[in-house]
Amino acid sequence: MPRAVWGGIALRDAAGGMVMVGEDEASGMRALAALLVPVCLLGHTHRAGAAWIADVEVGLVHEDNVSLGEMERDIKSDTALSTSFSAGASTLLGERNTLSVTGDFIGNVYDRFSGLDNLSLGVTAAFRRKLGLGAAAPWVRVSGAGARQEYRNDVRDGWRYRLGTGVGKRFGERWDLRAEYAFERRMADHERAVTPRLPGDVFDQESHTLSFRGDFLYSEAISLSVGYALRRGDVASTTQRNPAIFAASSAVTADSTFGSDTFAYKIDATTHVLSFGLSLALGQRSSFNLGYEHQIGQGNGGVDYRNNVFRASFLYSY
Amino acid sequence: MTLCMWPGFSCPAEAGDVNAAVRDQRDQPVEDAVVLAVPEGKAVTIPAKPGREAVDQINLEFVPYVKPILVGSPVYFPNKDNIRHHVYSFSAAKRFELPLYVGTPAEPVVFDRSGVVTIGCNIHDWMIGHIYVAETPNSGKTGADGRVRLDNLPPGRYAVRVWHPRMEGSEESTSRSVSIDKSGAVDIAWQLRLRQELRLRRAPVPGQRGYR
Repeated sequence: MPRAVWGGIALRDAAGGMVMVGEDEASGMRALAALLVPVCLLGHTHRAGAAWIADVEVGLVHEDNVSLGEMERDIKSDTALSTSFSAGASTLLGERNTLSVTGDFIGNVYDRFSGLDNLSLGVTAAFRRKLGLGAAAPWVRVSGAGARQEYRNDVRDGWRYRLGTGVGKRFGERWDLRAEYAFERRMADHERAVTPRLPGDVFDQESHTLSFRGDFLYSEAISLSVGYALRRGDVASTTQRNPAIFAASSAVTADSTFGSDTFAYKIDATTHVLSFGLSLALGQRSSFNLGYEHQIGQGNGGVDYRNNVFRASFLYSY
Repeated sequence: MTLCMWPGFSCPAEAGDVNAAVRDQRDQPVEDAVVLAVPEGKAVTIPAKPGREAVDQINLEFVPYVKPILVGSPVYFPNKDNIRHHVYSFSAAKRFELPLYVGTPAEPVVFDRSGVVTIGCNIHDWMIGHIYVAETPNSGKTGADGRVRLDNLPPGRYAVRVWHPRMEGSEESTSRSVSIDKSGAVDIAWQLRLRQELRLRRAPVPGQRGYR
């Protein structure tokens, strides 16, 4: 019996016949459908005075190791024009609780490696509870997000889901501290093995991330941030044919994004990310932002990588 | 705002003015400074029915930012935004809470103790305002030019002082004793040392979701 029958969804096509949607696609649809529940709830409470959300961010992102390569020959840098747009609404559920739901669009266009060009369309739902009265009251937040990702090189196409929970609090006039845990699951469309010993599902991934962030209000116009994140889980890196790296990998597939005879491999890794940011307010609703991240990945079999990420963006929030 | 503005009181035929000017340590005019003149040696006459006052919520801000009122005044908090606010204060002069509402609450908040009341919104943390509850009706707030005139003051001696949300030092340390003659004007000026403005930021920051 075809695998797609188990756990799949039966749909009618235009001719009225039955079409089976595969298990992975069905899971994606169910997950997005689940995220639509808070959308409906938000619509129901709209009469209570929901606030509209419209956030737009446009910027440049440069990575000096966008391929996450370990060896010198595999390390590639690139710069992307990145845009994101979120639109939705938030509503108050009682005096302490906020529910927000947004539709999210993200687009990235790369300068050198067009195979990385991508579009993402998804939904995010978040629930925030403030544990008290006043600006210094702590808060907790839980969120779920799902998105469909389409790449110019379709080996990376798939669905991405994220569940997160966080806590935070203001300390005095200047400091805002927060901690967050996030689980991410990525489900790729394709599984193209290139060796009988290893599957090809490089972009089927799971990860757990624990992050900490502090924001310091230098002045009403300037905010500084520092953060640390610890990520455990799957990482997709790139290499030319390399038996030692393949031996440490859990999946390998051909990936022409970075050139011919290039492969993407999945490896279990611990990644440390140190980040810094500066945000300059431009009026009440917009800001200019600079960010820097230093990533240190330590994978199985001693497969390591370093990546420096530089960001500059303009952010508008309605 | 002087005693003469209240219903039931008539302005004395002979009265004087206080012209106050407030500047900061960079010699720039200071807006939103509250100046008040308290008569020395005699009790302050408070109207039996103070007038209605209001602090609006417009475009997710309190308007005005500083509101001087007379002690005992009822204050309404109309919400002119199309979303709800939750107004509160922890100040010793008046602790209160107006849970989520739109429009104008039916009952005002009566400020029955003199002092400074700082108000906020529990949803939009950057919203902040100050209500200065004065023990005398002889008070006013400086404009953008840093000036205010207290007019129609009956002749006599007054302790005149100034307050600002960002001032360093105490309000009492600014007190000056002045004599008001009939039909005269007294000029008085202060140079205040002001702290840096540090209101919570409203502009967006990547990775921060604010109240959402």
